[in-house]
Amino acid sequence: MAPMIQVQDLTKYYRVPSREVPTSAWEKAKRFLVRQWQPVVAVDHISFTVEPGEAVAFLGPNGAGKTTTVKMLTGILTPTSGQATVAGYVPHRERYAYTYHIGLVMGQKSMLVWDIPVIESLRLYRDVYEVDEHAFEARLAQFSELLEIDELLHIPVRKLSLGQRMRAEIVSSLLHEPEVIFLDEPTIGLDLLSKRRMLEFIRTINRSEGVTVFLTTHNIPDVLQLCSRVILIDKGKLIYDGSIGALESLCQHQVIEVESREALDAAALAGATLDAPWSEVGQNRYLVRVDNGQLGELAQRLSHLPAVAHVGVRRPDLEEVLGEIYEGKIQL
Amino acid sequence: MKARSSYKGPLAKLPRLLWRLVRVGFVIETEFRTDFWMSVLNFLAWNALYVTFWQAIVGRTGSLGTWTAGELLVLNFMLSFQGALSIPFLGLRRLPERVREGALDKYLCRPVNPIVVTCFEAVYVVSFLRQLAVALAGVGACLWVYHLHVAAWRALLAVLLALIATLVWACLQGTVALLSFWIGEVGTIGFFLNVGRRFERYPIDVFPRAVRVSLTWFVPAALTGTYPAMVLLNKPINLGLTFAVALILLGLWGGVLALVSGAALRRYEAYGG
Repeated sequence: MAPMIQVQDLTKYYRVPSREVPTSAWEKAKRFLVRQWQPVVAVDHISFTVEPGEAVAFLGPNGAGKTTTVKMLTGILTPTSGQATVAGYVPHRERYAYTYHIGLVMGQKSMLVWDIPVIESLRLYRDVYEVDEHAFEARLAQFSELLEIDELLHIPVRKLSLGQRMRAEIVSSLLHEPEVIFLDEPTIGLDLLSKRRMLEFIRTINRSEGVTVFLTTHNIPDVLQLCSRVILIDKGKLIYDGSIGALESLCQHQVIEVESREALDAAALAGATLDAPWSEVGQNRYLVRVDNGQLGELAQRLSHLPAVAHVGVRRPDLEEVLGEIYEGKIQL
Repeated sequence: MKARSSYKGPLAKLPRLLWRLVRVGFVIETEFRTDFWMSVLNFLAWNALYVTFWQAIVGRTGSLGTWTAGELLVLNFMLSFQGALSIPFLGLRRLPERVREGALDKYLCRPVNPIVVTCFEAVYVVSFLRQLAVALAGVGACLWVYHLHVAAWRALLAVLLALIATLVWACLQGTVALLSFWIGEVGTIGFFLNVGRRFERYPIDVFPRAVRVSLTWFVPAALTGTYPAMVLLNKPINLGLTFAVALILLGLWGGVLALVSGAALRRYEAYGG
């Protein structure tokens, strides 16, 4: 079966006003009269494929190029070079026919019409996608059951809470039964319950309908709940593409968790950890980052400190691993 | 069952989509009832002001050029009529702001023309009907009160000219709005157009030739009020030449709009919002 998303050497340059500070009066005058431009590489020769029905997390720090990539894959932006095909279409060349096959949810930008009730926006999209009336009603009933949107349908979008709005947004992007859904930070700013409900819904759609999910997010629990595969991008370059387990195993250290009855003396802690990096993560709770070779010795030394109530060892979780990758502590 | 069994293409779904956009506009207008009634009051107040203004002027001078009080009021209501026709194109004025917000993304990832749907996201049909009714009633009342006789065919020609003028201005304003894809803020250019449009409430033929030419060819304010009123009232005007000018302007600005909108969309797709 052909991949659902196929990306080869995809590159996007933006032209932005020059950030160089003019050094002379002449330079300043020239800059005032004629704007100077400089190229900025947003996405730099990335390649990957996503299989039909897969749920993939596309992660990276702010400004890494995630949204630009999503915009290129949804036909909003034209790549500077490289190839992208989604569902057999080249998004920027075949935008009209292609967009029948995809859905896009942007957490930071509403896709609904702000001043009208949700149902009117949904009807507008029904007509945009040429969904027939019976199918529309059936789809709405299905989503009402899963997302409890009945109560929201007759409320103007501007009066909805963020969680309610995001439920309506996701319904609007799935009305036409797309084969792929692009989710750009869909849970940003959502409370725990709204987040959970949304993620469960996306997982249901992914598993029961085989909709391919392409997710960008900074919420690692979203990734763990939805995806088995992670693609990492940093400064426009693809730096990792593989399973979550394999990514976690790249970490060559473990974490010792220390709980104490009272605050530990920093000097004593530094002595016990042999200068291994440690941090206070809560009241009387400490984390020590330890290389595998030192693990036994340091755990023993820490457990002998006065006031220590508990010492535990665990592997770093995905969030910690990603933090270390972004900080350059783990080289990929 | 697949929700989307087949798609028929942009033209086939256009009527339904237009109807939906009209409905969206209707829902917005009924959602903001206070705004709606305030705009009704505003509109009536402006018309009352102009009626008072022309009666005061012509009451002292007898006429303005070749225009009597009744004819000047017909000009005023013909302008309101043309204003009603331009209501569906109001979205063009908000386009620069929407481009800066990156609002086109919403429709670029959907099977529609993003510029067209963004401009016509809400077609205010209630405002359109309201203004149309007031304008027609105003013209009718003026004709009756001032005993002005109008041939049916001239009324039809006047309506046709007002319609062409509306399209010319929509293309002109659309072109200016689309420049926001390159320069962001287009308020200054829009300002020049608005200055020109301030002349449209006055009969253009009372101005010197240079002003008349400018207000016909460069900022075609004469097309919206004076010329349709002259056609309606059987005032001395070369019908063939007037329609030829209107059609040339429509072709010119329509062509420019088509070129600029294609380039604007390509630019947006290249640079984003």
